[in-house]
Amino acid sequence: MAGAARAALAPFDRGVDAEGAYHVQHDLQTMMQELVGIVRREDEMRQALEKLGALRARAEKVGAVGNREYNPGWHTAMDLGNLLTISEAIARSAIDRKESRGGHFRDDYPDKDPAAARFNTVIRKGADGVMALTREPVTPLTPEQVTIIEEQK
Amino acid sequence: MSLKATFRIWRGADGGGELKDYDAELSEGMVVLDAVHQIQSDQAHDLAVRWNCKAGKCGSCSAEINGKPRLMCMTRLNELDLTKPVTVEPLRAFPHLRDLVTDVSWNFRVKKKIQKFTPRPPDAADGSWRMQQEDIDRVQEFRKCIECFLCQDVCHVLRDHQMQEKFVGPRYLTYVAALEMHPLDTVDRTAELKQADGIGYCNITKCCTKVCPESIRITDNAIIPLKERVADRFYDPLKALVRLVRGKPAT
Repeated sequence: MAGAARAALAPFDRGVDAEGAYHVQHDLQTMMQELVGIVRREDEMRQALEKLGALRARAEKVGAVGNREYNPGWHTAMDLGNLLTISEAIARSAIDRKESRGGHFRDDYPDKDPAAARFNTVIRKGADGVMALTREPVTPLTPEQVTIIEEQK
Repeated sequence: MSLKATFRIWRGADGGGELKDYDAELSEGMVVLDAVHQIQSDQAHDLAVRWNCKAGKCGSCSAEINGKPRLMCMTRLNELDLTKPVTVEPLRAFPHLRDLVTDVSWNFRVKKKIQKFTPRPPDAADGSWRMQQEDIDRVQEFRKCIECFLCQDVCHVLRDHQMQEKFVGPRYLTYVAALEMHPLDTVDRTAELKQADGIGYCNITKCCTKVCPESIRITDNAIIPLKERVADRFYDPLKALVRLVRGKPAT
């Protein structure tokens, strides 16, 4: 608890001289839009993972000014960690899914892969703190569901 | 081309503070909330402002823009005079917290005092009801309210006379109207309107109607019909005479 409180308040210690959280958030948004956006390619997404490392280093050094009530700059500073985690999880699982399906469009794998329909991508925090990605089987459809789908075809 | 405008924004906490000037770069289609966000990300990271949907449907970004209660997200810059600074202040009828944020919780406490919707038993065996369309249409207008509290802010009974303990304000008179005129509701709130809700304090200046972002005709369609119900119950001279003879006061 004390550690979490210290981490949350750290941006105030760094104060006005440090980079503002909005800057980092804006750069993260632009980078993800360009490299892990609508049309995705493996080389671009690998590049994104590298850039995420650099952004994380910046995020750890952002500063906040003012008070603790209704301070959006400070809130953004605290949000950055979560935004970076989510961005990394998106990039890693998008690299792993070598097909195009729904909102996930891969320029290098433009077609649906029936085999890829049978797994979900699950990301866990590994023992070393690094994201560990596994493919876990999708719950099979019941015979009744299969019949309904066939009827609808 | 980089056009700029000055925004004069209230900074400070717990009632204290001052107006500070910030320049914001203008782009087409901008609203006041966009300018506030720009100032927040470029110049004043700790500028407190409440907002949510940016589409005039959540009722969070209420403020006083050039002295008029409005939603920041629905106030386009091209309808303001940008040769002069645009002042943006918090709602002045509520306790101030910080910068543009006020404590509007009084409104939620008031709402709890009002007797709840109590429908009659279902009309059909399947648990459904039958209603006339015109009865539905009448209450539909009141249900458009987004609880931005601009009407509460502008109402002089609350703003200038601080009658919060005796008067529920236009928002909640509209709420009572929606319940009272609901075709299924069985509760009689007329006595409540007169005493607890303090409907008599409203002297129909129609300021609430003027500021409503949902264009609800608060005064004409909600408050006046409710005032008529109260007058009919408590102030009709003929009925008062009958009551006097029978010895039964109005309830």
